[in-house]
Amino acid sequence: MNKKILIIDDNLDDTEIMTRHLKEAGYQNILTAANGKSGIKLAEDEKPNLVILDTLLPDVDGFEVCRSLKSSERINSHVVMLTGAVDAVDAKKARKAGTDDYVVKTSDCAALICAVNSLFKG
Amino acid sequence: MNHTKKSIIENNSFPADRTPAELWEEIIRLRKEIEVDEWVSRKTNEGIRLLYKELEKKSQKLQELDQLKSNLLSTVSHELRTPLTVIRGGVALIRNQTLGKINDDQQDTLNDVLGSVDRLTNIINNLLDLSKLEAGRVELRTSDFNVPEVINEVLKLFQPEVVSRSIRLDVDLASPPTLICADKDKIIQILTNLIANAIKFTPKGGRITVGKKTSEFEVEIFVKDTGIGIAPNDLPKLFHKFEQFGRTAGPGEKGTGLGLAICKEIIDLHDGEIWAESKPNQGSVFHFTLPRALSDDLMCQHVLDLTLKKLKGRKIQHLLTILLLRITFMRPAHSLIEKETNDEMLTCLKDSVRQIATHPMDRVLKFSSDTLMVLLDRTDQAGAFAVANKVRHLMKSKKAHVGTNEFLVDVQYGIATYPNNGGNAKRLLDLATLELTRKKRILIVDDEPDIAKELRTLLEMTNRFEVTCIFDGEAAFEKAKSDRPDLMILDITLPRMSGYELIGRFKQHRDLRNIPIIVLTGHSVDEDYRDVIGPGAIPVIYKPEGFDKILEHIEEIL
Repeated sequence: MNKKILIIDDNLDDTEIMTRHLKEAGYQNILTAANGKSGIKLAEDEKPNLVILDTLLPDVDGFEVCRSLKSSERINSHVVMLTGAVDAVDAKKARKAGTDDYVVKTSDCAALICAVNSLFKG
Repeated sequence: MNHTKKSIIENNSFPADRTPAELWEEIIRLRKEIEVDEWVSRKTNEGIRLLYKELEKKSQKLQELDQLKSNLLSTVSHELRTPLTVIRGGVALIRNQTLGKINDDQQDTLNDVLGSVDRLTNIINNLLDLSKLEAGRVELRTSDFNVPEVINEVLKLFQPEVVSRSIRLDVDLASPPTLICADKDKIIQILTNLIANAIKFTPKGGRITVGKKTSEFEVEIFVKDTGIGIAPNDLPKLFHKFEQFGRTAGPGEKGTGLGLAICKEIIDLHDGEIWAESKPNQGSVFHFTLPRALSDDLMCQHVLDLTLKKLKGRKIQHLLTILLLRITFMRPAHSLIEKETNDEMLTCLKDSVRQIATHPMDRVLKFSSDTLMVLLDRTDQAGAFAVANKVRHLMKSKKAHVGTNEFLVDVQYGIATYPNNGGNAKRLLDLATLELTRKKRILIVDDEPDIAKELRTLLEMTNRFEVTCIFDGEAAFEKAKSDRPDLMILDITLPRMSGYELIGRFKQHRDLRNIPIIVLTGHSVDEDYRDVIGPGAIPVIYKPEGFDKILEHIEEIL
């Protein structure tokens, strides 16, 4: 598949695991950014089809980043927000920030791949 | 806009100052909110489910790793020991001048080598010991023995060393002699370890005291020294593996850091406790407790008591059921049954129980010469009943042989549950014993008094049952609720309430639905009810021809 995916997450191990699973699922074009600001910049330059965004980022609030991504005219991508610990309040914030999905991090990335696949299908 | 929401909820009156358009906007907005909330709930739930699965995966992985580690330790330890034996043998031969004379320097060097080999062997043995203990592959060989006997035996071993270091060794056995039930070799191992430590960390001229204190169910043994003590930071880590303290102070061989960990594992196996008190430079006292040798039933009570204490201390309470199983022989010649046969049968029973009650937390203990106490974790009365029945089935195929006589074996049972039947160990055991020995209660419901009486006489003749006869369906239901029979025999044709209806009501009642039922009828069973009643579901007895079969059925069920 020629879909471009951008991962914005400051945890290098998690990013590596996600990249590996995404590639196994057939998505070869993976970009990464380790903080919100560089993530937004990369999204503006590269225009990915989908952005995977961690709720916890070192420099900015993850939900803010989501809002910026969704409101920018230069960026036209799906957004999937990721968390290590699911939280109902966060889920609401994510939805209100415009995210297309909110999933939990697991060692097999099952939920993530599922979310990515269904967003690209529908 | 919130104002509108609030006023509707608080005043419960229709807001007259709003236009329909405004209200409609409000409704649309609220609908969107609900959609969002639904989405949020769904996503949160999905997340929780996945995280739970993840947790289970990780937990299983941890268990596998633990098992791997244990396996590794034991394999490696064995492989390491063999070459060491060879090394030691060879070096000893040379040092002992068996292979020819050697000079002093050579002898000193070889002594050092032997010392190191012994130390290495020690470490490996300790590692192996510990891995076996942790893997639960150690079975205690318990016996009843006297504490002073063991203490003196160990102290003798250390005589030369305490003499050479001018350490005074006292024994405080003020309390009366008591028997403890423990694995003698393992207790010697613990005492050796503790006393060696005490000597290691006590300077010249110091004093070590070994003593015991007796209480109702256990004996506490302590080893006290006037040595360098233990820092408060180190106290909690004392019984952890590979931790060593105060290595810089005091002479003597370096330890392996495993001794105390091994002691703790052994004490845990005995259901005892081990702990230490100490202050830097003010000496230390190491205590450990062991169970006293008690009569079987007292021992059972004590174990139950400990188990209940552990249960009550947990955040999440769950059930514990006590099941007493007693062996009875089916032929009247009881006096012919010797002790050996009883013991044999009891062992047989224990094996049968172990086959059925396989939960790691389940325990089987001897309660008396013919009775076992089984503690079933996370099991309710119905579960215990099922276990008892399965065990009975297993035991029915065994036969006891005394001389040329063969006796069929049966198993009686008594059940008591925590917390439903109470929280006191003795009371629970008393209740279970009562249930074990009482006659089973049978309720007969039939509107023909002759039939009922005939059946009652038949049953009471065996002297094993307490029979009540009721002639009416409604009254029977009430009686069952108050009396809780062990078995009910119902006639299908009853006035006011039909037998089918009565059965239906029983099956729907939370407490009564598990009571077994036998159906009596004078004619064939109604088509509609053949599923509920009839072969496989509830046994049907046709009166009066079926009466001789009824005892058979009852034996099966009870």
